[in-house]
Amino acid sequence: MNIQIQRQSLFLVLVSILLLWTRVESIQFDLESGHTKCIAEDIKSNSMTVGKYHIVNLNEGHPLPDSHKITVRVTSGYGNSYHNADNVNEGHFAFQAVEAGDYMACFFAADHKPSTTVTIDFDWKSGVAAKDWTSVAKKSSVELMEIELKKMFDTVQSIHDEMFYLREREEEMQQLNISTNSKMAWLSFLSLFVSLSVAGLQFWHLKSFFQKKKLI
Amino acid sequence: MENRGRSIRCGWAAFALFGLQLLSMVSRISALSVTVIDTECVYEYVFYEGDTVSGNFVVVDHEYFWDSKHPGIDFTVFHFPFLSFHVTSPGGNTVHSLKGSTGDKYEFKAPTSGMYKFCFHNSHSTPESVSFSIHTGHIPNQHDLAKDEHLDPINVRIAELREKLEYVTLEQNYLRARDVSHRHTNQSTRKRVIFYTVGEYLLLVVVSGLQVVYVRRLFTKSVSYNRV
Repeated sequence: MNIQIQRQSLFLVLVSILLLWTRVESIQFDLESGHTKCIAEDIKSNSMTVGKYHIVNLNEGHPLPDSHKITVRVTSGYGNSYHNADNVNEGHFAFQAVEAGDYMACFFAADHKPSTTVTIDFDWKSGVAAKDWTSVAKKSSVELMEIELKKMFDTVQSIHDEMFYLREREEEMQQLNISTNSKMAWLSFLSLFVSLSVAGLQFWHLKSFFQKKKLI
Repeated sequence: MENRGRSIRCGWAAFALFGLQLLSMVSRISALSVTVIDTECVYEYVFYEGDTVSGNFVVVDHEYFWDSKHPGIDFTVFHFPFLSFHVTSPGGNTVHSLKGSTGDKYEFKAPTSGMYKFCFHNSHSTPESVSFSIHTGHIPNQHDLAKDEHLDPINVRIAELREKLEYVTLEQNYLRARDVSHRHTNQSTRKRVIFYTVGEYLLLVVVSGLQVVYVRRLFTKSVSYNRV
């Protein structure tokens, strides 16, 4: 990822999104000119991901000033770039996430002499939430309630998956603690061994030294 | 913020589409984590008065080990009624406030619709990483039922069910964030304990070597003849 960061933008705020793979988030955040803000999301492999971003126009009725342009880069955890946009007001991206892991969407606002702040509205969906429910409604004449219940079913499924994930993590944590515990036991034996051997070596060395010097 | 300017066709499909979008707007969760260096704020718009805004936040430790009681961060929710645009200036009513907390759940009823600003303030020099979720949920009440003939009492039940599911999801976010924080602490403890212990042994060996060297020097002829 090769974003030019201006000298004055030492302020890099990493906004990483921890969430289920069915989460929908649409957030608004401020970005000062010359600064970079990055959003990261953990996406499972082979899941669809859809993102939309646009600059919010705070002066209703007036067009956006030309200086309000942002550069966007979406990269995977391994460094492969999936979306590039330079000096745009808005855009969108959609791709199939082949690699699992943290995907980062970084926003950079072009530098402006009186430091301005742009407000960016960013909507990033992945997994089941990326499914377009309106197209499903159009395809067959299903009732609103059925869509709602389908959505809830997906939510329950994702809750279930998340529970498995949490269980696995707890298992890993337990393993970590057990291994730390056993390492400490071995290290305490090592400490005993080290101190005794050091004392013994000192004693033996000095004894032979003094015997050589004929002082003993 | 959802783009409400979508085209609506005429006919029953239009109502279905509109209702669908309305329903999809009313319960959203945003879950994210920020590194708070001084102050970080997130904006969320609440559409209906009386909605329950709930959520939680957890401070993931960032290198604070000296005291067992973490100093924590301050969490405040500001409320700008009847505004639909960003407000970065100070002001607005404080709806909820928490000082020096390392993680908590919150829930309040939105007094009016409008823009809500959730701010985290770090009064210490070390940056802290905070992971939080916000959820605004709307359950159609009698007034909504009377206004819109497409809403059934069953929609109320469905909305309640959906809200409960979102609460479960929020709770899971909280647990996941706490797990991350716990794991961070454990890993750093393990790394530092092993590092310091091995370092301590090496230091012991080095110091005893230096002791031997010093004693030898005391007894060599070149330093001074029979000084000891």
